[in-house]
Amino acid sequence: MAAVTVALKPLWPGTVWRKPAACVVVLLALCGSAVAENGARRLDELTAMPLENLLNIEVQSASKFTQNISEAPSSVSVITSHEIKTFGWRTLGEILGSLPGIHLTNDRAYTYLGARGFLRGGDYNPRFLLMIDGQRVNDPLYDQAMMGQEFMLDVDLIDRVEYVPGPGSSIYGSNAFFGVINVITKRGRDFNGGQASLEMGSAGMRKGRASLGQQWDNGAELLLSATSFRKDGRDLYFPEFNSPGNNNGIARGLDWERAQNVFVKGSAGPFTLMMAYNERKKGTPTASYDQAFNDPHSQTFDTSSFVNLGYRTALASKTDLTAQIYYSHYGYRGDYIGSDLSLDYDRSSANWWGGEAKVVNTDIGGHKLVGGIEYQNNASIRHRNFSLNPLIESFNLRASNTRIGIYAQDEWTLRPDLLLSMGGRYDHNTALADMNNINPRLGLIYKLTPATTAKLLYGKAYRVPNTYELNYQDLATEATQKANPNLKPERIQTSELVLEHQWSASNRIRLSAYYNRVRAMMALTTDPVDGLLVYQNIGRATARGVEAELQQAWSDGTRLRTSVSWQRAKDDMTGEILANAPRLLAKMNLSTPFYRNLWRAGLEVQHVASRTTLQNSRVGSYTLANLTLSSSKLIKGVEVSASLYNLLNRRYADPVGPEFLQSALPQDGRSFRVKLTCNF
Amino acid sequence: MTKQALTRMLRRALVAVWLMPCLAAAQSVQENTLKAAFVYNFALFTEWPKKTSNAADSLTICFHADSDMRDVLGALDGKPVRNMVLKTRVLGALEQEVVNCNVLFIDRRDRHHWHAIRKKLAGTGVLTVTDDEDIGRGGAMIALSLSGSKMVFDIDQSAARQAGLVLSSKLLRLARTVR
Repeated sequence: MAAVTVALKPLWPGTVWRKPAACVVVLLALCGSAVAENGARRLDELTAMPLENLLNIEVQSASKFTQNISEAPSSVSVITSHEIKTFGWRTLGEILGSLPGIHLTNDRAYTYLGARGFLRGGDYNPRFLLMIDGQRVNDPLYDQAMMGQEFMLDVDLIDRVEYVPGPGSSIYGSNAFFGVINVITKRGRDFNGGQASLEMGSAGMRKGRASLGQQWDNGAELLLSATSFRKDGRDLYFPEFNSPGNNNGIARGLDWERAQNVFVKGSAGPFTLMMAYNERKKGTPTASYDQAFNDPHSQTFDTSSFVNLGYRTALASKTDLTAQIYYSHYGYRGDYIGSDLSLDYDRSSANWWGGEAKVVNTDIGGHKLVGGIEYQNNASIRHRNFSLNPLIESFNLRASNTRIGIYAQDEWTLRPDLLLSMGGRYDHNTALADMNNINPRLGLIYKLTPATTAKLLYGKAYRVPNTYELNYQDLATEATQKANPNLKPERIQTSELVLEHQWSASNRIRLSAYYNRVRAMMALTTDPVDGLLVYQNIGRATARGVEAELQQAWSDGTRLRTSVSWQRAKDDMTGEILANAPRLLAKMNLSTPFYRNLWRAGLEVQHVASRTTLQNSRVGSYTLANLTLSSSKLIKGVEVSASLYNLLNRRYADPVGPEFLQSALPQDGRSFRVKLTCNF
Repeated sequence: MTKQALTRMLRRALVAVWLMPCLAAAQSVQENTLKAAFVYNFALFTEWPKKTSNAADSLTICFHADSDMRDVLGALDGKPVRNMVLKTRVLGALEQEVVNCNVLFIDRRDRHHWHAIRKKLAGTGVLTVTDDEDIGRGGAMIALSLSGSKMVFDIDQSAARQAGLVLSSKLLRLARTVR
């Protein structure tokens, strides 16, 4: 009795509290009953509405944040197979190159991806996590995310690419440093029959693909596909080597490239089996690593493959379990011809296996819970470097290590207009002196109005040094580089504010401002004591920038995606802008149907501001335009497309890593491709 | 400002904050409720071949007993549709019990049974509606999905034609894609 009296006492003496308090109670009760009766009452209203109006009703559900496979509180970009066709993209790199804040560099060996002003020369995209249908494909030796023909899949087999910018280590662990790329492949049913595709293009490029896809009545499906790619390459001129002894700086017939790949994907009931194999051979026309210029023996050979068995089931109506086990192989052979014409061979390989299980639950009111465990056993890593005649072995490494990660994330709908996302991952890695790492991520997503969403994102990510960075040394012969087993992971801390506004189903604008701090960045440096090269955690860098992206679709089928990024990435030690970091990127992808809707034209325009090279010189800004005309309606079952790349024949160059004598390499001028695809 | 005025203001602010979710809830709609309204419209704008109607004066919507949509679809029972009345029927196992239905709603629980269901339905004139992407791509006639925070639907017209159903031009016009 006494307690009740106390409870009813005015909260603030001298004011009449009861009335407003009662008001709140009544209003809350009304509100609650409105929500509870939503089902029956709102349904009556909704069924009385014209269908047109239903299409404009805002859905109140956490699921609008979870349309993508990627479990990250971020602004996920999705590129579909339709866009890949429309814009004539030939590699994964070109696909990603259309996204805000991304820029590409090519050194005629590999394609490199830069994000928000960071693109470090001398390594192989280790700061992006690359996945195929959720299977991590960065190798444990170089951590490479492959972007060109060396990527395991023919781009024709891609159903869509999801790119999650920002730190992803809270779910995905190491390498998810600047962004996570998930490539989702097509399925048997997407072909339902046979398909043959032929491509021809400039510089003697030709490619053929045969695919067979089928789905049976019991739901099982199978996709088989094989691709062969050849490119003769043009003769290239490098003024840095312009002397009579070096063929006047002309590398003749060395920019060739060959690739073969096979992809198999089958599923039956809850099981999916996937196998992928790719090999790519590339001539080295650039005389990198102090090689002899214009020597036809200089080449690199990459093979990668994996087998993956996946299992997916609904444990309950709102609980999904996915699990996978896999085995992967990566092999590298580099043939180097020294300037004294000595032969030097790099032979490395990695075999690794692992498994992952993930549970997603949306059963607890207002929560979307994700939890998982991942194990990877890098069972055998080998790296040899030797020269012949006489046989001298300068490096021979056998290594193995394991890593295990446990993660959890909760997307908590605090109120219909407010969502809090919290997540973190613990990693244990036996390759490191400091084995344990924790990376958190926080996101607050607030609906300012039904059409406007603000997202405040904070996260940490890290990258474990790879076997090459930890162990490589060549002390046996002419010593140049030594190992550093005490290397620590490099880290990034990012804060981002995103504003998204959607006027209608057909148009959307996104603004983002970010601040990224990279610490303990790994860099190849010279030890002043012995003059040897060694990887050390010395780099500190900061990037800040603003991105704006606009997407619009018109009723006649015209589509526009355009973005502008201003970015400033600077080295905290020197205060200077980082090498290969353009201050401005502008992109436009516009496509429209024409000529009785039979054809589609896709125009891509990209502007990249000037960049500095490692030697502190500058390469000029450039604007590229690519045009693709395609049709799948001309003849039933036949798709044709014709593309012109670098339409205006702009001359431009990309800064390259420290392994080159050149500070920048000139890129291709105007080139074409025609493509014919037939379905049977 | 007097102390009293300040407290009054604080209180109003407090009330306003508390009411915000309430107002937001009133403006938007639960996803499943909206889906059910779409299903109602699909029934409204589809013509069934004469021979398949089980009873001339009613249309039956069927769904699984464990479906998340059970309550909201059940609430459609008794609603008028053109000159008929909607009936709803709850099924234990779709692939076995799906007879005398005009509309069948399939959700992701039945993803692995979908092909058995589809086989069973061949040539029976049942409008198949789903909110699962996999089933949608696997030949359901109408697939609902969210695009941003709006509901959209895609139509597989060849599947509807094979079943002898005629989807109105209005449905075809408002669909995101028709294939």
